[in-house]
Amino acid sequence: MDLTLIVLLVIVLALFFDFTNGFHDTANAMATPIATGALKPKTAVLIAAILNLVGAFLSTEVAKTISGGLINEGDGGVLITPEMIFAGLIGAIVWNLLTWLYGLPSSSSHALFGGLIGAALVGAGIEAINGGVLLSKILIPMVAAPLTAGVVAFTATKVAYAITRRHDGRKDGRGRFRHAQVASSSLIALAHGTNDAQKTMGVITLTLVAANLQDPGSGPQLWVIVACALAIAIGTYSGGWRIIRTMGAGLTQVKPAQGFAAETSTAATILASTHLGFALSTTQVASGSVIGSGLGRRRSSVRWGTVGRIATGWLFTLPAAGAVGAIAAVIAHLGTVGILIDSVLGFGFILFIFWRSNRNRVDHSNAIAVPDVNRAGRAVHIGRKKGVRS
Amino acid sequence: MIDWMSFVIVFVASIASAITLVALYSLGIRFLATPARVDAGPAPSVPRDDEDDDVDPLGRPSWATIAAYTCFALSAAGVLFGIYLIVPALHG
Repeated sequence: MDLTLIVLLVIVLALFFDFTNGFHDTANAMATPIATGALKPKTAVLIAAILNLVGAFLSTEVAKTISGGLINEGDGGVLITPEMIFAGLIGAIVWNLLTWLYGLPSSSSHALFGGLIGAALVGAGIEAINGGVLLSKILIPMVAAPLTAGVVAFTATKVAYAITRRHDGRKDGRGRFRHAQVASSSLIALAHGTNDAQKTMGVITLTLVAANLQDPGSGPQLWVIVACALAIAIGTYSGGWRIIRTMGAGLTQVKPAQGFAAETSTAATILASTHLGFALSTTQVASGSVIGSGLGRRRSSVRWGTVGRIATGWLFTLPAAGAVGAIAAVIAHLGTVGILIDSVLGFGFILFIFWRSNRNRVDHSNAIAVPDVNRAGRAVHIGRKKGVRS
Repeated sequence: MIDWMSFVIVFVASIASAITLVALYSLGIRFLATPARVDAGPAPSVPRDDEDDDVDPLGRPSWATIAAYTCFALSAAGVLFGIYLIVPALHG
């Protein structure tokens, strides 16, 4: 096996994963401000992209282990080979693209962990997996994240409407929440940037270490930081409009006060969880916030069918990415030929998904029918929205 | 194995900070929308919108404007604290 070929492939795949991570997660920060018209779609993704780029440089402390303890790595445990990382990345990318095609927000970290677990199962068997960590880092947070964010956003929405409610028939000024939405959603985008690009930096750095191309214990090299920052920023800018549609219009109709409450709840929950030691997935927090804020606003309804589809997607993230990772690992065991077969299959799948997505294009112009802020166009807005359900 | 205590702490911190920030900004908007004095005339007949209205500029007392911008400044401070928490170089 040519070591440099596999290292090169891992780097390319890791950067592509980083790209899918970006466009999968634009919606977390920008779906609600786009939905309320606080930001124009293209402006929103540009802001998110810049903040992700900046964020990637602000924090370059990468993980010490690829799987965050899910796989028993290191002394006495499994040796995670570049082939395993390669197979795991294929699993994660396949799942990220598939969920994007169906407009489902899902955690990119979980997809990556799933792919790696699948690959490790093939390479080292069931003992490779740390069940306790799986429960405490994936399964419990999967329930806790949307519940916490949902309750927080529900309460925050109630508070926002209660404080601004007027009984005398005069204007209540709730449109002004749009200004605040710019700040709250930017906060989420920045937090995302300081967190998510680091996963890819970690994968590449640990692969370089494993291949003896870098000293163990040293931080990511400059070109790795730059490449990862650019990959996630370009991914973010390309928008993931299908997921933006789901988060901004598919779950519930979002209004300015509600959008601000949801974004603030997302930012607060993510910051609290990062700093107080109970790591939660940004995607799951953001989805929970949108649902909670939808329940908190009067005269709004939550589309439970969409909620169910998203929840199903979350349940399948780990096993599905794991299954693909496992298959890719089995093929990779054939040696160089297997790696090449994997690469061709993976590339073919990527092309297929992009070809398939062109059959019903979703982009900045049609992701969400936005109310014209300067015109009383509410009837038009509601009428148009029926046509854009995915 | 599962750290329930830290989960409770995360929940309390999330809800307390989110509510504070949202309440501050909402209060700011409420102050901006403070009713005009009675002699400013009857409520205008423009159609109201529960979600998208701007504030009426007429007749707001100046204390309300000051209070509103104080609230906005405080919520901006909250956002700055968020940035402080996000950027590792700032909090070490």
